[in-house]
Amino acid sequence: MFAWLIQSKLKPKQIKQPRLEIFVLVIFLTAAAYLLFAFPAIALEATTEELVGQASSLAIDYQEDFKVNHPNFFDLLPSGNLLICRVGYQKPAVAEVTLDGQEVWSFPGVQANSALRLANGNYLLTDAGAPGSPYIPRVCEVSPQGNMVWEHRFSSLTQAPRYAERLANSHTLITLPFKIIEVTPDKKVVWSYGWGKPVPPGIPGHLACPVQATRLTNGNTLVVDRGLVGGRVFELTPQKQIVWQYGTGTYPKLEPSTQEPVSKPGYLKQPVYAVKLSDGHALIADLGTQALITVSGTGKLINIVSWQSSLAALPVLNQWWAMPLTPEKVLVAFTLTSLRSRILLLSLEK
Amino acid sequence: MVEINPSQRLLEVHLAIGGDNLGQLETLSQIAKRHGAVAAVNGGFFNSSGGLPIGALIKDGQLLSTEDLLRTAVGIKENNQLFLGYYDPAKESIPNLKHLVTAGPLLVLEGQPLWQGVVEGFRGSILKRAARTAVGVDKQGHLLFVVVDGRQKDFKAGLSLEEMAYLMVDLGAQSAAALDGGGSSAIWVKDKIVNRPSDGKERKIANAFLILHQVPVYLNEKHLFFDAPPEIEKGRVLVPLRGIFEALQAKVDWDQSTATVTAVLEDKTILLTMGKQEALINEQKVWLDVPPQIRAGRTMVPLRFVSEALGAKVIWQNNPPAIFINK
Repeated sequence: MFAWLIQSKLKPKQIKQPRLEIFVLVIFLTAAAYLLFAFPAIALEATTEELVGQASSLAIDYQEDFKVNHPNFFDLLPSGNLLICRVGYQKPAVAEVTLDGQEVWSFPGVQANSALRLANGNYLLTDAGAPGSPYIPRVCEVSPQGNMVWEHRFSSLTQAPRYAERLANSHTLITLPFKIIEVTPDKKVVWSYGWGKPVPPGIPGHLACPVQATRLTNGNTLVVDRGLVGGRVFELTPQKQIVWQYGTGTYPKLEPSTQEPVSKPGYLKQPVYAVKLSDGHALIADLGTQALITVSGTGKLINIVSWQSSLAALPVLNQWWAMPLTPEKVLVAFTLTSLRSRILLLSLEK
Repeated sequence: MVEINPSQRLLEVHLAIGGDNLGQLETLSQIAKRHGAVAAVNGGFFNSSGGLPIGALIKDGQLLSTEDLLRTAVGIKENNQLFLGYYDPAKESIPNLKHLVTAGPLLVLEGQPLWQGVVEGFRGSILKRAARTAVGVDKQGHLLFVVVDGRQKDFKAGLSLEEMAYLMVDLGAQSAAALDGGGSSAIWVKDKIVNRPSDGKERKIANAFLILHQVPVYLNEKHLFFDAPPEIEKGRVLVPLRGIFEALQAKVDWDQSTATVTAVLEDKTILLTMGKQEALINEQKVWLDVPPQIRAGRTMVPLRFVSEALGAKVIWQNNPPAIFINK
């Protein structure tokens, strides 16, 4: 609208320059959006406004028609499209869809635990590798044309990757079942954390069920360990020292009278995603208690808001994943008892 | 839990179908008893309304049901070796595969717990704590059949799929997969259910894995099962009276007062008395090496004598032990 008004009031000779300005502005905004969303290492330390831009004011209620699979993970792209990992017993795929359900890109045959769009327009997928052909756990970079640009295969389903992100130095940070590794483009491991197998809690490097590791601008790594009986989120230095941690890796027993998920300060039941803001705070989505938790840079609780009541009226069968956009807004992927799935933006009250 | 050495002589892991027909349901006890099993657990998933298996089902090498689901299949190969993995019957064949059901998820691989339930398409309450059944193999190659009770107030909550994976690792499994769970979870050992099914009673199921410890008997190449396993005494195989006579299509009559059984087939009449080595074939006296006898409440008769008396030919195979009756 604004561009049209400018153009309509300008004489033909005067049109060129404003058009260029608009063009430059669009390029700049697009590049900024890519930086924010495609390079989480940079994007995950932004103010709330920088982090989500206009996304925080979007009304998102995406509904899937598929019944044979479910949205295991998604990413909100700068275009407003969703990149969805559909997993399940038939027709698994990663697909980019518009909010009204148009599929603009898909890569079938992968049981993806995560998918991100890279700055170069390619997609970075973590394929759990099983079951189904080709049953190879791998991290792969796929072009918009569907060509395999880069692939890091793992020899066993015990190493089925859960999350991967491309770092600014072109390395790839990969979250495995019991280990986090940073690999170069030629697949050399240059940094790792964890034992690669279950070890008892308390042993340095213990990871119960990590689902996300993301590199921060200070060189540290933010780790979300979903856990087995309770989770935790912590920040690691390159020397593998924990700077701060929220959650203990355990969770207190629920009250037998209610059995409802209740967020308990200091604990995380099943964290699935965390993002660090430029003010030093971190946002954590705890799927186990359906809560969005803000903690300080030292791991102290700032705020808890729950989305439990927001979904109470819906016949939700399973919630799969949640992505905080602001301390009060969260995108949640869930399947209804009809077996149709939705990704819904929830605005929460403090 | 039942642990078996798959190389044990006369041991066989067998897949049995409810009522011996796809779509029929039976309790695990009924299936196990019909086959003279020593132990049994419930098998793969099935459609509770129609009783048909969900996914593929192979029994005795025959593909009986096919549906390509991206889930872990549990199979038994020759020599009771366990197969766990994805299997599309339309695209591939697994050498020496005898039995298979689609189940899942894969719980353990290389001795490590996996988290595959979500990507194998499981959802709803299946992902929560529940009664579970799993099968695995340990470092010695022993098979582990494990059942955990669940969803019973003041008794057991059960395990999530991830917790079940850790349990199987703790039990020594190098690889393991889940079978059908919830109210279907049941384990039968030596004539009784030894867990507490979460429905409060045994659920009727579509198929089951049985542990047989018996000399296999084949009639015209079809595997014969008896409600008590065949037993060997003095080199003679004894089988349940009613099972063998009915298989040979003879009419049987039991006289409780004289402990005498009379079997009639066409022009042949056989008379056997419990504990007596003397029998009558068309009133002709015949001497038996081993007399008919009652064992653990079952009336057992010598298989070779009965079969041959009714006109069948009996062949004993030494390695592996098996009896072939041709009629």
